[in-house]
Amino acid sequence: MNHRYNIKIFFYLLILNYFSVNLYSQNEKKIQFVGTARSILNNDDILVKDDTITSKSNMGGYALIDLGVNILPNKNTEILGMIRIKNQLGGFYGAGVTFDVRQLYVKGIISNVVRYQLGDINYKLTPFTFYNNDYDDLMQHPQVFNIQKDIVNYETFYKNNTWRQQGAALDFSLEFSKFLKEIKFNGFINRINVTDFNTVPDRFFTGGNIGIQQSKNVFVGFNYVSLFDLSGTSQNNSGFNNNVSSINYEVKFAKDNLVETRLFGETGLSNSGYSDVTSAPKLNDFFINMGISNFIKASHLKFSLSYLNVGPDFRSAGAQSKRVNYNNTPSFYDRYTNQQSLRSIGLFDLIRDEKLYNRSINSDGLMAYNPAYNNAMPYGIATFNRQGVNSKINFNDPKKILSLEIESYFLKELIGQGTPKLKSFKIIKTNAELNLKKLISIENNFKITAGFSFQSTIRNSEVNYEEINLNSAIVNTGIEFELYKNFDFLAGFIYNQAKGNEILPSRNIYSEVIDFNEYNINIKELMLGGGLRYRFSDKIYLAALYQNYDNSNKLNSQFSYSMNQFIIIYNMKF
Amino acid sequence: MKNIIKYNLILLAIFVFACKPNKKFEGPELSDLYGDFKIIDSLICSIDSVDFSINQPIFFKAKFTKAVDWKISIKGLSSGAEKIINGKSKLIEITNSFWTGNTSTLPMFTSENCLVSLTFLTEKDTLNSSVKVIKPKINSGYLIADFESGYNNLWTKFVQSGASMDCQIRNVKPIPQGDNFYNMAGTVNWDWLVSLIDFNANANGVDRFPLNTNPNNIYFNAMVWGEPGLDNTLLLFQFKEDDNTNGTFESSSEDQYDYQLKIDWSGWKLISIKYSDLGTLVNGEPAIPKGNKQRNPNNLVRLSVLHLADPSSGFAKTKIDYLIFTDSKSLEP
Repeated sequence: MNHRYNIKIFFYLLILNYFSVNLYSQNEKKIQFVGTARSILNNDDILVKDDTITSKSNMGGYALIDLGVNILPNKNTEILGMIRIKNQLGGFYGAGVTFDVRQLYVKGIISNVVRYQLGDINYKLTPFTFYNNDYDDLMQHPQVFNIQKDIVNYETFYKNNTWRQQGAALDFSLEFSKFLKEIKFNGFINRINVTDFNTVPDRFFTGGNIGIQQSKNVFVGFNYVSLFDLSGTSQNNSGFNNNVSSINYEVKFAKDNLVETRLFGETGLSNSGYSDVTSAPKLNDFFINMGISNFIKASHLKFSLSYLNVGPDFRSAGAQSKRVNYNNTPSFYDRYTNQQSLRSIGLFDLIRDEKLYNRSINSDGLMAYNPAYNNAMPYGIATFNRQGVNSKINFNDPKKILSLEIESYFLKELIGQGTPKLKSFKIIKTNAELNLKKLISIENNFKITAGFSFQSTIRNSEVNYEEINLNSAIVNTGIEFELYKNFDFLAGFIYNQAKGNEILPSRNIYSEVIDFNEYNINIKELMLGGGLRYRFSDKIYLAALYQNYDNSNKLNSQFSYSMNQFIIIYNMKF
Repeated sequence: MKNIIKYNLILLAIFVFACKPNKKFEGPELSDLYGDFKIIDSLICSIDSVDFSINQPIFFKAKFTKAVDWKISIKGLSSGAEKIINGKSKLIEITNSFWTGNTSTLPMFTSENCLVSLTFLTEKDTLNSSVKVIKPKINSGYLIADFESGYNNLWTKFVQSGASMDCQIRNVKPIPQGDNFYNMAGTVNWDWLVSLIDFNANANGVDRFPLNTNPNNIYFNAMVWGEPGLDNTLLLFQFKEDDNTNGTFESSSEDQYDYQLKIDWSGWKLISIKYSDLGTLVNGEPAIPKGNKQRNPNNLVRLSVLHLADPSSGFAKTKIDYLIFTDSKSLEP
């Protein structure tokens, strides 16, 4: 019954798609239908030694349509409304169906000068003010896993490092004939929390920037964001505020058209605190990020070196919000073992479980992180209490055969945690993509990707209890081979190993360190995947994938487990 | 371009060195949490002898290499009273070990020598010291009865004619305060009431007990004994108000408030209740008071204490001592 229902949905969708092409004339597209349709069928199983309680196998899936109507009432206005119809596999006919509004916005231009957008807004400013940093992604994934990760990104509206917000935005620019080329003004205001008229006040996030483009080689930007509680919207007199202001700049030089040198940087200040709470500290600090990059045009080699200094009390809710909420529990097999213990989030969950991800910035203090994956920069480049250098080398072969990226961070704390002795951090990561189609001149697509990421945290001391030595390494490789036209074979693996100890700070609601917890880990994760994909077009595909995941916990072997998944995905964008 | 880079680096250096963090580390010291434990300064009392009746202060001092959970026990060698002070720190000083002469477990301290012991939750060490209590603390409040001057003839007593009836002032240790308490014991197999005693205001030489008018500010306190092995005693305190201020309590037209306890503990225990929390009971069930229905502590003319027990339960026993009203807070003996 349910499959028949799903088929019906797709049938209606195809009809809609047909009309979407035909409802408007060639020149004046007043109404367009846009959206996505997807159907997933998955069969999972889990293997845990001596576990006689957890069900071994689980089948699930869903079919959904995101149906958006893009209306252009006049040449200066655009309205988008998108509803989602979702039907869970296994629900009774109609009973498992949900209807939601997925997107709603109005945007346009006032007097051909000021652009505005109301409703859902994807927004970002700079990496220290308002930015959806992707440090939780660790590195690029092989395509056999990226199919599901792309769905997660679609569900969470992660695109170009923007955060999805609800509010209003304006921007306009002034152009000059002398001295300056252009000045751009951007502003936004978003509502983060809705008052409950009792203890929770309305919380807003607002800001903007002024970008001055002096010439094509010189740019200076002034940025400001503020997260604040609106007084009088609840019975609670205490209000939180977090303000960040910064200047970012970029100066380009070109020498003989051979080398392009770029000076870049961002420097700023933050302050945050609570009004009417005497016990809450006022946190004020600054950050500096400045560097130089060279692009050697002849060799298509780009390298950069930058200095980073982010103060221990630097707080920026818009930039330090993490994508993954490590306090969430996985959607698949959240409990396991005979004790029905909570299963912690693993790599397998990170590539496929959108419920683990934030959809908006977090304004309730610092988010939890997993030291086994990212202990050096858990809050991205805006991670506080870090000082050091970052270097990066990029190579993009003009023939598009090879692309290579190597990046490293050598960082140290600015102040210690529980001791004056400082932790030092290293991050080394590389990503490479080899296009064998171009290399050996064949017709079919043939790509190999590989990645490596290593992190270490070290604190040396004469006393044992202060010593820290935590290392983690992730390796991945993927292959994408077009067997026949539009019919791809995909395979890959991701391997992660984390071993060592850390002493993690425990913070109160004001983000002050009040205690420490010893953390010891020795885990190995191996994820293998293989499958087939048929691309009907650039926007439509059908994929069948098999994935195996093994999580081996050396310190607590009873929590080791392995999982398998067979999944069929049909995805279509229109 | 070289100049721009040079100026950038100079600016960077100035900024970094001018803005050094002013603290070396955040959070508690790791040595406090994970370091080795050693006693740097042993336990001492701030004074050798203390007179609590004149609010003389006393505190204790000790110092360790790391913050630990510690416990100071001050035990009265004559009374058996014990005061416990707990904390977690690497330093014991006036702010975390101040003692006003009160007790954590009854009885109350008397003029006596005390043994002071310092022990640790996670360490085996025990440190000892001693202090002499010259005079115990004086509790502020309005005393109804402490039985130290014997039986007051203006109190009213009723004792059923059951078996093994023993309702009188006694001085068998342990005694929570002073040298005497009032004993209530016996077997009555035909009625719930074993005995009662009325403490009338005129026994204290007043028409009504001189208490604050605000029932939210008045606390009733009493020390009550639970006989080991017996849990059949109910103790009912009745607070009888003279609403019309004619000098007597009339049960049919004036307010009576009640506080009933099931005595299911062993030994002496301090019970305290705010006057505004008292209710009216009839046969143990909530009822409506018959007077102005307002709690008026300043109109209280009689406090009755009834010893009740299920007739089928056999012998019942309790003791009471140090019945006192306090202002603003409950008694800290």
